[in-house]
Amino acid sequence: MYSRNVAPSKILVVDDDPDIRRIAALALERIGGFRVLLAEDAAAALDLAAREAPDLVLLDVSMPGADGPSVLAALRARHARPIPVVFFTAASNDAEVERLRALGAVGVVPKPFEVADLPRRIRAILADLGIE
Amino acid sequence: MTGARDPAIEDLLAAVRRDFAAKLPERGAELAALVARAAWDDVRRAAHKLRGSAATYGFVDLGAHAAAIEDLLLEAADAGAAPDDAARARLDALVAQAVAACERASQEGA
Repeated sequence: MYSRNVAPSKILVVDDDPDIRRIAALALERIGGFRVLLAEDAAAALDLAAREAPDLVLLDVSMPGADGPSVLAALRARHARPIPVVFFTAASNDAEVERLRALGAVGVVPKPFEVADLPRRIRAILADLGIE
Repeated sequence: MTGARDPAIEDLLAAVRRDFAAKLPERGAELAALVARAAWDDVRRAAHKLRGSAATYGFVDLGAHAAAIEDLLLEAADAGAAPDDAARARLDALVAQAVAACERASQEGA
């Protein structure tokens, strides 16, 4: 379903909180060696996804305006080849994780997260998908 | 914020943690001001952000206080009402704890 990368995988981080974008970018770029794109809202996320074709989107569930599930639905509608989406959420109980997976997420990362652990989690998901 | 052994990365993490901590007293004051105005949706959103970011930056106590504030307001919203007197008293106590945690974090991170 996905093609295997040779270059560093491109991760689009979508979160309205600049503090989360900053720490996630630092973790993914400097610790994980990924190429990172940042978006603060749905419009920026959809624009970057169209222009940059990220390998994976790390998407906050709860954002003002269009929330994470709405962005996921818009990505699905606009891209013939589905871009894998991992949700970031502060409400990571079992029922919520199940709901997010049912929407099509390939993973769920709880917030708060361990900085050094984030790139490992993303790499494991990419490996499961055959992207890395 | 552990596990990254590269000293350059550790330095970067320490720097972003200091930046985050430096803004916390202002965020604590904003939270208290929102509570004083009974702007419950705004309080919940501010607490939600702090819940996600504070512990990620290593300020676990503050993250826990923010989580308790958000959960209390979600319960009230689920019941379709503003916080009652008992909930308001708990909220005031939690916000005072969060504000104090913001001040402590700012001093730790400096």
